[in-house]
Amino acid sequence: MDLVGNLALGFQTALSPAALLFCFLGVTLGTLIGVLPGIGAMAAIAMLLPVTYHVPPTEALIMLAGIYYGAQYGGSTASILLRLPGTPQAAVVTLDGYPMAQQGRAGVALFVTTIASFAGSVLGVLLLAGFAPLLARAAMAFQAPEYFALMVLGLMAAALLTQGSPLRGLIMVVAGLTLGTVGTDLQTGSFRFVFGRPELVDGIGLVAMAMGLFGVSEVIANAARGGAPAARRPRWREMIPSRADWRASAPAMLRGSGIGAGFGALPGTGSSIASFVSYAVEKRIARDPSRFGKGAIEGISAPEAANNAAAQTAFIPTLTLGVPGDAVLALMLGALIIHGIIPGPGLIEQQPTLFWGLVASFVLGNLMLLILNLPLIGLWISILRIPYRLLYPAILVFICIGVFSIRNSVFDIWLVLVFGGLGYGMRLLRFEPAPLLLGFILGPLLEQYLRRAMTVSRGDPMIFLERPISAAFLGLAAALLCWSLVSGLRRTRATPEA
Amino acid sequence: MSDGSGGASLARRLARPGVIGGALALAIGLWVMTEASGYPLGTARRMGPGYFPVLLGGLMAVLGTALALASLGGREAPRGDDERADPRALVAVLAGLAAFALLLPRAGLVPAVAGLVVIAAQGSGQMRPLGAVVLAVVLAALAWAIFRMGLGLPLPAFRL
Amino acid sequence: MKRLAALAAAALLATGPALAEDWPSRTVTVVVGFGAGSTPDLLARLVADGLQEKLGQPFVVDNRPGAGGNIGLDAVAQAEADGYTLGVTIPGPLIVNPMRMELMYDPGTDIRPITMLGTQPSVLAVNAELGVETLDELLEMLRADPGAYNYASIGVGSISHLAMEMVALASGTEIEHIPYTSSPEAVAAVIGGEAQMATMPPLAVLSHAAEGTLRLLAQTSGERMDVVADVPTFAELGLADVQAEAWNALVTTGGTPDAVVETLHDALAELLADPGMQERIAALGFQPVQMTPAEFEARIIEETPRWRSVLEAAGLLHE
Repeated sequence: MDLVGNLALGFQTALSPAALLFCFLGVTLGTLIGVLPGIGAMAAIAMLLPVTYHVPPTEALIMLAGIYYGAQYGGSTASILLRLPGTPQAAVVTLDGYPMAQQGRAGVALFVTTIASFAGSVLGVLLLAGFAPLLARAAMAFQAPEYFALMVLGLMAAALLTQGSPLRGLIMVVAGLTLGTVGTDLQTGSFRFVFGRPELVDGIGLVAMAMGLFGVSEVIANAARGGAPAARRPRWREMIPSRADWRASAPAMLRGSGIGAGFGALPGTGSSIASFVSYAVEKRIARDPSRFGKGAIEGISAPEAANNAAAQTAFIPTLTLGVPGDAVLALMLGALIIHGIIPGPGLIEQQPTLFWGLVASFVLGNLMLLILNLPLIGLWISILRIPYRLLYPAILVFICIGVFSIRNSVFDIWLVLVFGGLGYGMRLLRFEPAPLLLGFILGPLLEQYLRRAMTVSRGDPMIFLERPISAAFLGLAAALLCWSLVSGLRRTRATPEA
Repeated sequence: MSDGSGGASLARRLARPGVIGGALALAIGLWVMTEASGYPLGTARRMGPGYFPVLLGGLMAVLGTALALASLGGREAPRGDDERADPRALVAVLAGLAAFALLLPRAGLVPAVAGLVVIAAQGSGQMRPLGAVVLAVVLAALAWAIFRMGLGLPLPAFRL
Repeated sequence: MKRLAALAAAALLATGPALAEDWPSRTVTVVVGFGAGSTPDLLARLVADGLQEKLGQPFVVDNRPGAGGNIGLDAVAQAEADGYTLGVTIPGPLIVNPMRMELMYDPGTDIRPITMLGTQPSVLAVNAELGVETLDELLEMLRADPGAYNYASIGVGSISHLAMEMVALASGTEIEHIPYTSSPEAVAAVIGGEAQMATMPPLAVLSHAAEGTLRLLAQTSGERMDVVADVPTFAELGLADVQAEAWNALVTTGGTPDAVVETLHDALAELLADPGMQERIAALGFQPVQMTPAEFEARIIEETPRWRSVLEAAGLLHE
């Protein structure tokens, strides 16, 4: 394959004025959507529908793709500054990013996540350019048992990434899985845990839940004692990471990108699992794992790189299998088909201009995002200069309107209230909400894959151990659990309760 | 006991977060199992809608029991930074959210934001009434300008 | 201050009750009971785009996949009867599933039919590695190893489900049913080997057949359709019972005012008569169709007994 020639063709397409303009529009809109959790995704889609159908497919795709990966950049901003994650990926970044902001290092955290986003994206694009057909074929080897095992591994990583007893993390994961079953059963269409409320038929809203568990509980905890120390007028020098920060972050970004790029090729769930797994990897290989959760810089750079790398490779299943991972990717698929281009295994060969133009636009778009996001950091940190007693009511307003706007539902505000109270209770009992969020996202899928695998095996659970890939994932998950139980025990012995 | 937990009285050990949390998880797990066993269970080969939740409820109950026992036995490392509950902030914030949910469909965006801000601002104990009202007016105006005018969300400023 | 008051007044006016004559005065949601990238989804997006242009308000597609499309149609049934929720559905949730199971909605009263949008054949595709070239060879393979094979479907009550049950019946063996929520997912499962066969819309299988990973054995329509002209019909191969078109249709909530339905129907009639639109619909593997609400209702009534007999034969009828 002539990669250089293909890329030349791609850049020729992506550097045309129209393509550059649409790319810029896309990444700008994406940044905005990413920064405002909950708000915008649906509104932006409604706004863009006419545009996508009436510009040529390559330009339409370049713009939609820009929104998709641009949103990944902004996603960490609200998580780091205010502990308001809109996705499980962003929830991972709160684990160490928010403590960094509390220590007055919000500028460094935002700077590092921006660089990590860029590094992850570029590595993801390289893999996409070089190995798309290979990754697509590898993804085909994944059937229900493999997906199930992979999710178990991801959930195990999520459960063990928190501080304290691994049992707490596991309880949170199971709680999340259970909350995920609320709504309509996908196979039979019967209702579960709906209690006659039509609003629950579609399940609990992810953003309402995340805003309650993270944002509202944080506001309650800090209302009286104040949030992050009020930053002085931010200076550039304070945002630039130190040499020690770079030394810790750079390899973490590389590892995160690799993990993310691999997982991204699996439709739908890849990037959230990748974030949690890469965080767990950093914590495991760190010389002093106890720094994690208290502002370890690897704890934000690795997952951030992972989720951006995954956002790039996520185009593989969308384009070569026609299986989109989320609403924006689905819109891309629609735009393609409206223009008579059918996603499928032959797409890369049949539409070289489109595919390579898209790949080249990813490179340009990520450069734009870098240039767009770095200057914004100063603006974002100045938010923290507002005294907390004035800031937190504004955060609540922001949460309420954002959650309401997702499906114009007042019921979702009540959910925020319930999960806010619940989150505060969990906080007092030392339960951390991040694993719950991953469990919630993966729950419905985990159940589908479990049911499918068991049907395929005619009810024999050995199918998970007979297939090498799934056995390997489950083995890894078990090893992770043992390792953490043993080391947890050792730590308890070392510091007996007084 | 070598880990020194023997010194704590039973009442103090029962009040540990791990014991309370574990007991709650056990209770919730059992409730989930009961509720879900009302749905068709199916077989392992063709699982019904109840199979997976029953499994989860059972798992939750087992994990909760394990956590409660481990914590009771002093197996859990203490954490110095346990925080005290702040009932004032809890009530103020949740009441503010309730006010928003009640006012939005009945009175519109501006009253809902104002209600949320005035009530929730009491949580800090550092806001004078006039300050809260001024903040409410400013935020309501901002919310209206950004979300109604800027993003065009279907949120009328006032309803009759 | 005056300006603020004026703006406030304008905001108040904008919230007055929506009149049926003014429809549409805000965003209309088009619910699809299948995942993104499935043929109903793509058709819905095409029609939504056209209606948006004709009627001047955004038409947004909302995917509610699951349970063979019942979940999506239920969302339409439960919506306000004001015309702001439309649905694109296949025969399954509208005709077949009410005869198969208890549902939350009654299509007769909770759903108002508007028009059929297009029909398409459904094509029986098998994983090429099975080495099966014809339907007869497939039946032989099933008989040689009863109960060993799985088929993928887009959900219960769909043609992709019932056609395979009829094939199973013809072979005298059982084939295990594994339901998915969209045709791309189901096809990916057949290529990956989780299932060995599936009856799918042409769009979902043609590119894979061209790659050589899938083999097309038969189609469900009464006569060979243009998109798959070289694939024999089930009837030609001696399975006359497996004859159904996988049509897609537009519906709305039962009790929606006549004025809304008329506006919508007129806009659709114009839209579907447009040669450009017909070409785009054809590109999805559909034969464009349009009918009045009354004609569509008559068609539903006419098809019901045929589906009933298929269900009866497959032993799937709900008592």
